Amino acid sequence: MIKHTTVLILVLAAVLALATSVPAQQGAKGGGPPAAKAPPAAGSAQTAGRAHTPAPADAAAQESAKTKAALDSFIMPATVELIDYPNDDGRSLALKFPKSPSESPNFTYVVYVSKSAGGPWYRATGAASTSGKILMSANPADFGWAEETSETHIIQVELAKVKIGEEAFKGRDGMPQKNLEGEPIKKDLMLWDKSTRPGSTFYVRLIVTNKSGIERQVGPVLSGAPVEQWADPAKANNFIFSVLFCVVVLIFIAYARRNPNLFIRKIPGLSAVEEAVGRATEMGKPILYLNGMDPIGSLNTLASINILGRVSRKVAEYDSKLIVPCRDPIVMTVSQEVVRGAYADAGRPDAYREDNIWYVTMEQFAYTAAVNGIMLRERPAANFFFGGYYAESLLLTETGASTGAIQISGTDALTQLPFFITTCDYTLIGEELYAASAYLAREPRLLGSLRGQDIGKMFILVVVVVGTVLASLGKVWLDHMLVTK
Amino acid sequence: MTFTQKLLKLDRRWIYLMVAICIIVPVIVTFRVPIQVTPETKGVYDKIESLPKDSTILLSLDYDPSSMPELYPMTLAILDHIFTLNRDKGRGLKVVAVTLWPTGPGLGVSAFAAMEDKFGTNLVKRGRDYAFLGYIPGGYAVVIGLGQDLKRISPTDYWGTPTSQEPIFEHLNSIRDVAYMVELAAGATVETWITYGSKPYGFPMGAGVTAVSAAGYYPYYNSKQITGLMGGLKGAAEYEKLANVQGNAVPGMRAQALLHFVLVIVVIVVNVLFIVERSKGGK
Amino acid sequence: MTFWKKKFPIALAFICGVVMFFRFFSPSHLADQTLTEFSDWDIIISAVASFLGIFSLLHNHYTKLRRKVPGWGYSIVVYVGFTVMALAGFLFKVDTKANLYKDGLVGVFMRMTLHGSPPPTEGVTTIVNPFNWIFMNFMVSLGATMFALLAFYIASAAFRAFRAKTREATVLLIAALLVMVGRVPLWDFLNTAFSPVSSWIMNNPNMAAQRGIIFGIVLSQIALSLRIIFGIERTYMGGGD
Repeated sequence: MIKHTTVLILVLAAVLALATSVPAQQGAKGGGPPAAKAPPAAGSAQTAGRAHTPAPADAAAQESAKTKAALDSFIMPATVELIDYPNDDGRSLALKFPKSPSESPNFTYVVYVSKSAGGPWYRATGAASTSGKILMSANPADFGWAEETSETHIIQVELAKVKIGEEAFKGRDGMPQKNLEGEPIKKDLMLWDKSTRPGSTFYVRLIVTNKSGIERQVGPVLSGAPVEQWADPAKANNFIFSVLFCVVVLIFIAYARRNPNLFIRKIPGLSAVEEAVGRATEMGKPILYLNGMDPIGSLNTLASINILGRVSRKVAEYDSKLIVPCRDPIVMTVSQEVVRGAYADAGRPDAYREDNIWYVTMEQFAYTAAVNGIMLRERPAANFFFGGYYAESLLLTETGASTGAIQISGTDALTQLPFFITTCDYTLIGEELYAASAYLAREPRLLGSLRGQDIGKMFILVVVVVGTVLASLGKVWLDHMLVTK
Repeated sequence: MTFTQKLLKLDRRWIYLMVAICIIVPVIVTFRVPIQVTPETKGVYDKIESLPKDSTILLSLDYDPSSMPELYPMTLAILDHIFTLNRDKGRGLKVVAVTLWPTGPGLGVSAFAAMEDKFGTNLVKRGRDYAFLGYIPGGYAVVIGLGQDLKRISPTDYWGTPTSQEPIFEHLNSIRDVAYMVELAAGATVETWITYGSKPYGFPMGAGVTAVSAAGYYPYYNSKQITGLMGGLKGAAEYEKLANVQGNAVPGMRAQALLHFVLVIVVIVVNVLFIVERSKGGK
Repeated sequence: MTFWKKKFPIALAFICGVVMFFRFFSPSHLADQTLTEFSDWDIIISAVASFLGIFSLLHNHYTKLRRKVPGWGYSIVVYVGFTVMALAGFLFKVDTKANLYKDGLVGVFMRMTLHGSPPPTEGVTTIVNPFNWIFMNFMVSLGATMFALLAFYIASAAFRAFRAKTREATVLLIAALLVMVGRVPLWDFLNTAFSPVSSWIMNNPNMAAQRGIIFGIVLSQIALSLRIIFGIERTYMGGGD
């Protein structure tokens, strides 16, 4: 039932993604909210956080003349559009306009924004006119790869980051607070405050300014309302590949239920588990099992705990002693449950000893010293090291090797693999750790997921090879298709 | 058993003795060690050097005393570089430090105390020029939380002072506002900061890691997910050279250099003997 | 009881997994808030988990003390160390400036335990917080000692591992030697000649191999996550399948 529900949810999500991407695409192409409303621009530039207010009449005339003279050489962009910035949380607008032939490091584009057509105006953002970051081609995930993107500017106006002033920060008692230096603490006042509702209209002006700070407005004052998107089409390729991979894995799990004898290649380390447990039982010595150094949230620890379940079942069947010193308290708790369950499954709940699975310390080398001490005192006949390891790996395995124990390890920590390979009898490399649970249990459901994984790997291999050939031939469509955020 | 066979089956304690001698001798006999700076380390240095005025730098000190010999000199070299830029070029750079490891706070406190001693509290003032948030448990969840609202995740700094009262946090609401981040890691927290910090919140970052784990981070450096990578004591020595800092990394390289050299010679000799022995038909 | 022990955890894992999967593809404000909420709960659970660990540690050593198993003396060391560190951390606030002669031991203790007490003006001595003192003189020294053991172990492992027994071992040997020589800052000519070779090996074959293994690991992690989310893999819950 879960499977059918999941498929339904995934299909619905895909439909939702496609549906919500339509307004965003239209917005990005320039459909957006109506442009060019209202009033004439006026006034000189102010720094961020202060209102941009018109100057008195006489000074305004003089200023106007200076501005005109200074920026006469700059060829204004032919059109300016205000659109909703695509694929965001509904707090950004964007100004889209073609490049001007007279752009140079001397000129800067500045954006002012206001909640009303007459101002006050606040500085939102600015960028050098020649900056590559304000070209549409700088963000192909959102704007595509068309040729026009390298000739068109897009300036994102993040409305939630526009500062309009400061006020005194008040404590719970309503009194202004002071910082450590005795100065009053100030709180930023933002354009987008708690009273701003999604879909509110904002007014935007695009200004071009030169190094003297003289400004000239590009086009009229524009207005628009940002729209929140629920799905990000720029991540659609990611979503599709993830869903495809999930579907493939689920298909093979279903297939494996009908054909339980799926082939899985021999993993020597896992085949040796029974031999190691048997050896320990014959020698009357305990078995040491380490879950790695990572917390329970790490998948390698979960993989190790899965293997612990299988190993402890064998240990219970052989009536041997299992020692599991843990580095993390939650890992310890989960390990205790797993081992208890395994002993119960093997029909030996009486043989379970909770004290054999205990928390040592979280400190890396204190834990290593403790485990080394256990190895030297208890002299386990078999040591299992599964999970994530760091610098202590060689300390653990060398000590274990010196006691003559058979050692089986498995980790996805690439930098520790050489140490394990040198000192252990068997080593599971990378994904073999994650396959171990399926290998030991031989359950069709788990084997099926392994097969699905292999299909995924094959797909990546094909894409890498084909992509390399295409890129070498100058065909970049596959590269473009795979770009994501 | 011939001498060659004895040498090939050498008791490991002779090797331990050789290592001990290689480490002790450079402590007594000093010699110059030429440090060649690699592009990976320069990536971190250049980024800090190019930061705009009044930028805030985030440092995450995710290591413990056992990795201190490699990562602590890196911490000191970076902090020294930052405060030297402030003193000599008036950059006004600020440092906010945090640690995701419970054993990190002591090291952070020592590092900042060392900076206060060197530059004086006029230039390195707690709350104004630097802040240390101490240890916050939670791993990746902390990184996400700091990216949403820093003062909510860390209402006080390590010493209990409310972060709302410290001038350094007046305009710093979250780590989205930092200009650069350097992650000093003994474990796998570099991936945590890239996945949950740098990528979603859009700030560039560099990394300093132990030599043992450095090899695993080249993919991140090559794909430009980190601007630079300092590996082990050598990375720390390179940074000290770039920043012109008299630290412990460059002197420490003497022992490492001598040991590496001796080990290389031993490995070559052993393999030559091994090949000779094998050609004679011996095991 | 079966519902709470078996079905509820599976349902919870499924809901959380699916929500977080879809959250990644949504730029909306709600998705951001969801992430914050989940992260906060993660922090809370991690903090509470430390109590579990402390209880397990103390209980384990109490059992050893009670049964007087061989080595029970070390359990006393655990209790003493735990108590001293905990008391030092709870009682003493900060490194303090104090005048030992003027304030005396009681005065110093009071100054160190009261947060924000003003420093004296004469005869100032900086009294280091006992917690910091123990940390710097015990933890740092012991940790550095353990880590230093690695140098010896790596040398002996290198001595055993770097033998040209097979073709693959020979390739490993040559690559390792080139990288090591390139990182030996003993002579300028070694640096100049071998450093680029060492960098090339690290940035090309090493990185390519790492990437290949990472692909496999990541796909396995995705598959394992799927199995956990859909309740196919339930070993982590204990109690068998």
